[in-house]
Amino acid sequence: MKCYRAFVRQQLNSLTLYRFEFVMKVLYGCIAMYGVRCLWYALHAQNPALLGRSLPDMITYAMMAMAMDLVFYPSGDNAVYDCMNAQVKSGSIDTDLLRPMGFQRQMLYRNASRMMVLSWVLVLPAWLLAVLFMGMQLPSSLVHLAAFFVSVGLAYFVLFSLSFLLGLLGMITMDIRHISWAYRGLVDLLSGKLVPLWLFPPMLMQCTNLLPFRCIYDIPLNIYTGAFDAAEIFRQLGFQCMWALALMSAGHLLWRKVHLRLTVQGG
Amino acid sequence: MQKSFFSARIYGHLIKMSLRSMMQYRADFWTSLAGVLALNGANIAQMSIVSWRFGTVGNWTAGDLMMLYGLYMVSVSLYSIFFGRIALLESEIIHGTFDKYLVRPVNVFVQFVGGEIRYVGLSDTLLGIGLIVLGKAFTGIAWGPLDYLMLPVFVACGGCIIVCIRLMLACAAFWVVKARALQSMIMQVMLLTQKYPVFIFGDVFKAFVTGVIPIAFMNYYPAIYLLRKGDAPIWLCLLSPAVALLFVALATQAWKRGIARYSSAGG
Amino acid sequence: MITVQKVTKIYKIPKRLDGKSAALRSLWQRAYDEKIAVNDISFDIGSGEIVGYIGPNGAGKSTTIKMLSGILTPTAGDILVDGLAPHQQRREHAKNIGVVFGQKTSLWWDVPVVDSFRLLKEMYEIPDETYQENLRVYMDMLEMGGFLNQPVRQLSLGQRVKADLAAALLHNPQTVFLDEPTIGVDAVAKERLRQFIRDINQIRGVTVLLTTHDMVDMEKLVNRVLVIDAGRIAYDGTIHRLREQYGRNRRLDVVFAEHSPHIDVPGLVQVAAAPYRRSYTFNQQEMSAEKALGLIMNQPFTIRDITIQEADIEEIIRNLYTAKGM
Repeated sequence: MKCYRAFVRQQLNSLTLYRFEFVMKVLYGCIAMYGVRCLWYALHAQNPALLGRSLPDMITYAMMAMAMDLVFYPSGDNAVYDCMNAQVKSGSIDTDLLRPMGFQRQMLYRNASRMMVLSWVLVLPAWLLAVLFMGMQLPSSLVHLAAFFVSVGLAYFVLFSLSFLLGLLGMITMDIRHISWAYRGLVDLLSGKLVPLWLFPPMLMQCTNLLPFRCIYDIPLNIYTGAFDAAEIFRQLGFQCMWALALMSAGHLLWRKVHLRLTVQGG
Repeated sequence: MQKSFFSARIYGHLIKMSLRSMMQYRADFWTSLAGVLALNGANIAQMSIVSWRFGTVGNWTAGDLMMLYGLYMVSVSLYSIFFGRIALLESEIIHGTFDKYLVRPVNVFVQFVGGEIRYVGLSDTLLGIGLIVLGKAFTGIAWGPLDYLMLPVFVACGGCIIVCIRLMLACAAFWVVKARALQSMIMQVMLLTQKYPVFIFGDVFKAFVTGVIPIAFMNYYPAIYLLRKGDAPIWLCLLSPAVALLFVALATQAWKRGIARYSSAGG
Repeated sequence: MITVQKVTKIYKIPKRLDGKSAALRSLWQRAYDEKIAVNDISFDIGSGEIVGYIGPNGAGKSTTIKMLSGILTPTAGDILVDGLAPHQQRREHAKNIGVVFGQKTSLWWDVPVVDSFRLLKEMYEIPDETYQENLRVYMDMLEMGGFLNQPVRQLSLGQRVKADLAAALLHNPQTVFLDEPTIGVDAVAKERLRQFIRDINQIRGVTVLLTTHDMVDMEKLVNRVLVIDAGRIAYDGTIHRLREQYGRNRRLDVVFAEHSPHIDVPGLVQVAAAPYRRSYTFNQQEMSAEKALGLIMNQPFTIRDITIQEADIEEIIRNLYTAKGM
């Protein structure tokens, strides 16, 4: 835990150097939120019934998705898989491997600490602005809020482990730039970020129910907007847990294999 | 005049050499095409699902939206293929590799931009053309010879505008070294115009992307003209070439002043 | 022919704003500190000279080179290189000069060296015969045959610098500026590069301005020294005069016929001893070489061989720096 705090402190230091950039990023998020709000307003005006939710809930869902996007996909080079790839190419992965901490855990700490810090610096102001000026709702109760935080944490683990697995793939194939584009497109769509999942054609919706992607946006956002009752919340959190565990273990196991390969080949 | 011919000839040589070095990476092209398709695929899927559910966005049908997106893609691909280097201006200034252009008896811009043809941009072009064709088919609109003439004109002007805008943004590096955050904010604004007709974002937004950063001329106004939509007067749509010329003049000025600034400030 | 007259270069360095909303205010407010990189310097370099431009880091060497090559504009003063003002007449001036920046290649990264050369041929409008001739000569003198067809990214540092140097001279410039070109290059390649520069200078009369920290460059290559310190010229003179003024200890190596002669030479300081050999130093400011030689010859022991070394250039430079308070 002390180790983790050290990572966080490192992130906070870099924060003060880039104040301007962070203000710009918040504005960036606000523009995205505004765009999404306009879209659903327009669609609602055409046919309110088709929306599947009330308008305030809808725009809350969509805007919160954009706010979360600020940390879940900050700038391209923050993606875990890009980071891992860059490290292998430059050879700096050796220093990481020499440290007395599991590789997956190092990646996790580094990435998670950044997420935590950015959440407060980026998401919170964006969320505040949205609540004050753009009609975003607050969660229906404190319980919902708490459940939301838990859900976001789990969502993060799913996101991280997927990225980590992709990074491992990159280490083997040596160039995943194009695959990573496809991956991002896939996640964006199937996680409910671009279009809420309940609007999907039924067959597609069946698929997304089975895949882990909706753990990242769909589940936390639905909890926030109060779409689930208590029992359902538990079930959904359980679904997230299951995927998080499965993917993290897969990452751990696959890493062992890749590590062996790296040390044998010399990278 | 003679200088221009010379510059054009040197540009041709630079392109030839760039193509030759690209030949080494031929296998990459197909994976990159797949990657670009997947990335845009998410956006297209989003548009499709929304259209399928709601029928129209504003009064724009699925076919209309495809045309809109396709026009954007083809215009942007002009930038991506021939002027992609512009994004590297800041990096070249920081690392000092910009100096060598000033020491050779050739136009600096030609040297800088001619350094690299990015064939990856071709995927954007192919996708864009495909969407334009599909869009025309879906909307069932009939085009006369004038429309077929205007299409490449719109695309060329749109490409011109985006190149000039990105160049002017990049030139910020001559004065303020870290202008990246501001640039990505402008990019975000552009992302919104890419997918949906600009009017749904409100009058202020529309005025901004028409008069200040006129990216609406890349796809929105051409689409209105080619699809006979009534959302804007015809004369406005036909302003594309004038806007393009204006921005070429502005961008040229920005570049010249940027170089002068580089020479006095040392970069 | 290079003429530099009363040239000054002042950089404006943006100051960090303090206080509330500093980051936001910095968008429209700008406060500057002034840094004087080059302060009222003047010098003339004649055709065919090889000038070593030295000084501590940050003294203004790179700034001067950049002004001479047309990258930077002076804040004040005039520069003429072969009758042209570098910045104002950039493109004509560029045809007269060649530049090599150490650590940064000016060649294209992913293509074979020869392709870069061909492109430069087009850029500088080099006639076919001149191009072929130069290519042949440089390939031979720099031993580039082995890597001419390799992309620059695969070359070792020494090979890359050779390629850069050849590239800078393809168009037969009258003047070349070399900004620490041999940094990090191994000794053998360095010597070949030095040889090449010397030959080009002698055969073609190319004027060379070379910034360097390498003392061997100073010793073997340059015939004139310009020292810059904190933006001002601290010394301007031939290498010969430099030796005279600041050379101190010269070394005398003697090979005797006897195995271990007990020699005591007053006036000379013995610094090394080995079977049959002795080494001495004397201060050339206080004793001429002739006198030192005389002292040795007056010893009773038979002498097989004598060598007198020049004063060590590094020590000379150090003496110069000390004398100038650098």
